[in-house]
Amino acid sequence: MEYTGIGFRKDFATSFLEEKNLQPAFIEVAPENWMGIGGYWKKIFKQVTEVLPLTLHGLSLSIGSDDELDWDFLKTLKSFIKEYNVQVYSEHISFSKCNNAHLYDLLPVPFRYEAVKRIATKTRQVQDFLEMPLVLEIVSYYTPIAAEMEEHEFINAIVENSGCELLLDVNNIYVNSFNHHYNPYAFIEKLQLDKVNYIHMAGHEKVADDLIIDTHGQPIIDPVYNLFEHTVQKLSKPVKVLLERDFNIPELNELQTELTRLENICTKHWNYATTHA
Amino acid sequence: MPQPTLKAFAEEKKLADYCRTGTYTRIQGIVPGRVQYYKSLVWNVIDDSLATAFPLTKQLLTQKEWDDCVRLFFSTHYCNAYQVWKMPYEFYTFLAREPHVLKEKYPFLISLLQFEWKEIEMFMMEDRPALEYTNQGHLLIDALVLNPELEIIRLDYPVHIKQPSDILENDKAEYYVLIFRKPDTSDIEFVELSPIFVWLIENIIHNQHSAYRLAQEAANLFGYSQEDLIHHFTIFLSQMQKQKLILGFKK
Repeated sequence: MEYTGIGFRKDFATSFLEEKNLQPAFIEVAPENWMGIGGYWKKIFKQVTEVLPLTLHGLSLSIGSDDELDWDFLKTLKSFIKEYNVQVYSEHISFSKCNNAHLYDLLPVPFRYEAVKRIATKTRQVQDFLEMPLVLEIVSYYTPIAAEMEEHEFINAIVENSGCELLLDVNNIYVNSFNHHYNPYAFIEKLQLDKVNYIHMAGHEKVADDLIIDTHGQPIIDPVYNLFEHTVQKLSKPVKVLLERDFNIPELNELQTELTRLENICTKHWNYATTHA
Repeated sequence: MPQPTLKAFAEEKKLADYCRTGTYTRIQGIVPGRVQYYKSLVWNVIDDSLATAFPLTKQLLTQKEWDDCVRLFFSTHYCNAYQVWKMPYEFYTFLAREPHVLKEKYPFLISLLQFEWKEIEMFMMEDRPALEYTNQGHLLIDALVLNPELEIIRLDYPVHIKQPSDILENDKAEYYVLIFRKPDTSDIEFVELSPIFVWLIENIIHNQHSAYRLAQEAANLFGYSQEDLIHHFTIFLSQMQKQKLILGFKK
């Protein structure tokens, strides 16, 4: 594997180390779940990160809320990034706390100018402090709230004003396009694709005729693979690709099959492009 | 709490408040019927985390008692922990602090929550470096090096030795429990201690005195026979050595 990694979870940590039939290029974790711990999980984490590169995908930054940044968290995070030589730290364009109360889930930010301004300010503060780019994910959402601009305008304004990079979760784009009735290919065309630094892929669950929930609990479906292949062709440079599987975790060789399919798509387009550049 | 003045954050607050309290205030521009998914997703994280952290408490309470308790906590407490695994500590301290009818029905409830939380805390806490030690030495004569990953807690009820359903109000007393993380497996062990052994362990940690000298001091302080203390200390320390609570002898 050259491009494709896996979201590392405690649920399969032991079998991952023992069976060795899942061979990602790197692993990704939520720093909140692994920072400041010891004992059994620290030992496991050290074993895995000794042999695989690590990326971080945060949950608690709440870049989209009015709250000030949590500097104690960021200080701990910075040490963790240094200790494990982390190359990518990504977060979500969402809010997960309000009035300094954590909600432990990702809620949608209004597509509004004041939100762009606040997110850009906080993003620059994070980047300056961590001395690395913040990679922000376009999240799945089930309803907009108080929108005054289009979603792609909102995303592009954040990128322009903050200097962040983009995490393109292709499954999220598919889910959002279904839930909000737009063309996912056209949406991707409207983004600043030269700012994409990272891709996420996952499965989802259709819970009603008009609603898909982004569960990360199912295999990736073919239309999402097709959208992924289209995206890969549109990018100007190769980036890391991550498979997320958070629930309903299958045998690891099934995850390896998904990784291989993703890797083959990347190799087909990016290695050809590199060879013929 | 200060109210946000900008539209974006005022609308965010309405959504956050709805997820926390279940009380809906009209949010501009939403798709009807969709916001409840957010309330369910947030609730599931809170409920699952607490149920995983406190399985004995969850089993003790009726479903309604549990749901009401979790709802009260999440709707009135502002969760401060950015790590979700630490959020159950806030649930335990919230109930310890606030008057609640369940504390009358189950007087040992706070002890039970404390006990369940301590197991998580000890399992997850950062590694603590041990002092240098050698395996050569005598349990009574040499200064002992203890596993640094230990804590002694005081419980008001015997939740560490009895099923919650078997605990009676007149079980209330002072119980001391030593909790420690085994260095090889990282498993958490519990050992009930009498007050004299609490005194012994605290003095070994803080004063680095030999068990023999501590037996002399204890005889003077508490009026026990020194020979009896040496006998009991020897048995206790041998057991602790087998359980990897005693790592070795000071170099």
